[in-house]
Amino acid sequence: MLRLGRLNDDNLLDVAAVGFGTNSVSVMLSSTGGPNPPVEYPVLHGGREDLEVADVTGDGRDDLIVMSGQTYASPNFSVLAQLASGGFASPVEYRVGEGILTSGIGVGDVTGDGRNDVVASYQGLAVFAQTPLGTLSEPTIYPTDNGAKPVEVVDVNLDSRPDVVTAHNSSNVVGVYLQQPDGSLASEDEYGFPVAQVGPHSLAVGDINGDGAPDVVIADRAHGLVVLYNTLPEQTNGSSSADAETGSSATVPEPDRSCRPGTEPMTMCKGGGRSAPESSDGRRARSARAERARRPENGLTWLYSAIRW
Amino acid sequence: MTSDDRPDVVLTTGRASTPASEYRVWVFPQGSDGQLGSPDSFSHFRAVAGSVAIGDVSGDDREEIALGLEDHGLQVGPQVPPGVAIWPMPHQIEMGACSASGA
Repeated sequence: MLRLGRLNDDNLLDVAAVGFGTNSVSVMLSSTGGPNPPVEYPVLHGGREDLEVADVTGDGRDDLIVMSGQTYASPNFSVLAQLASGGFASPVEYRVGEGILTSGIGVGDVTGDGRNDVVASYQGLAVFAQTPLGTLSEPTIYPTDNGAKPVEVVDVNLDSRPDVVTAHNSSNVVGVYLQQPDGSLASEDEYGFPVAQVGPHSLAVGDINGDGAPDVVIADRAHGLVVLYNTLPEQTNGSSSADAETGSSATVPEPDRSCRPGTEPMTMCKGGGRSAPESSDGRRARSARAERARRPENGLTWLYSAIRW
Repeated sequence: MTSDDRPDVVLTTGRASTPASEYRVWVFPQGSDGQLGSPDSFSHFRAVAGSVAIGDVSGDDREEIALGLEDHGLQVGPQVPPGVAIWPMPHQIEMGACSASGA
C-alpha cells in the first residue's frame, strides 16, 4: 500500500508505503537528484493495511496514518506526526473499540470545522474528529448494515461539505454518507451496482467525464472497471440546488446522461442493488432498478457502466 | 496522465484468466467529450500490484505512476509508456486483484 504526500519541507511529492504486517512504514523522500533510500519508522500493523497521508494534527504538515486490518493486538490505526525538524514522531494509537478490525480509512473534514478528520470503516463507520489541539477525539459511530471497506472523503453533492463514500464487499452496494450543515453525517444512502470484491484501495473518486461532479470508479475482479457517473441532483427547479438550512445555492452542471460506447449503462439509484434480484433475466433486473431510479430520495443518482477490455 | 488537465483512470491487474490481461497497468484516458477512451497498457513485473498512486514524484511537472509490487517493492514510472526505476523496499505489498486511482 502506498500513498504520495509532502513528507518534508522541500515541496516535492514523496512516497510512503506499508507492507503486509511489517510493523513499519517506509518513507522515500524525493529529491531533484532522484529518490532517496527509504527510511523506516516503526508502527504496529498486523496485515490488510490501509494508508493515508494528510495533515491530521493541524500544523499544516502531512502526517502518516497507518491502518491495521488484521490481528487485535494492533491498534486500528496510528498517526505518525511529521516533525518540524524532519522525520516523524512515534505513533499515536487509536482504536474504534475492543474486538474490532477496521477495513479502510479516509481523511477529510467531515465535521465542518475546517480540520481534517479520520474516518474508519468496519461493521460501521467511525469518525475520529480532529480537535483544536491537533489530536483525534473518541469516535462517533455511524451504523451500516454490512461491512464497509474502502473509504474516500469527497464532496459528491457539491454543497462544499465533504462527504464519505464507501463500498460494501460482495454486497453490490456503494454507500454515501452526506455531511449535514451541523457537521454530522446523514444516514447511509446505498446505491446498488454489480461488484464482486473490493479492497481498501479499490475505489477512487474524481470527475472523469468533465461535468464538474465527482464520479466513482471501482476496480473489480469480476466486472473490470466499474464506473458510477454522478449525474447530480434530479433538479426540479432549474439548474441550481438550494440548501434548505443555509439558503446557499450552488450551480449544478447539466447531467450527462449519454451512454458510453461499449458499456452497459443503466441508471442506478438508492437501494437498487441490495434488493434487486440476481436474476439471469438481466432485462427484468434492469427494469426494476430503473423504476427505483425515478424516485430519488436525496437527489443523487448515478449512471452505471462496467468497462471490460 | 495524458497532460490535458482531464483526470484519467489508472488501474492495475494481477492474476487474470486471460494471460494478456495479467500484471499490467491500464490507463483509461478521458477524452474531450468526457468519455473514457480505450485503455493503453504496459506490463510490469509478474507480480501483483496491490497499490497504485499518481503524482509528480520526480519534480519534472509531469505526473508519474507509482506501484507497490508484491516481492518487487516500489516501482515508479514516468508517463506512459514508462521507463521504470525501481526503489528497493523491504516490504511485501498486500495481495490484491486490482487497484484503482482516479483524479
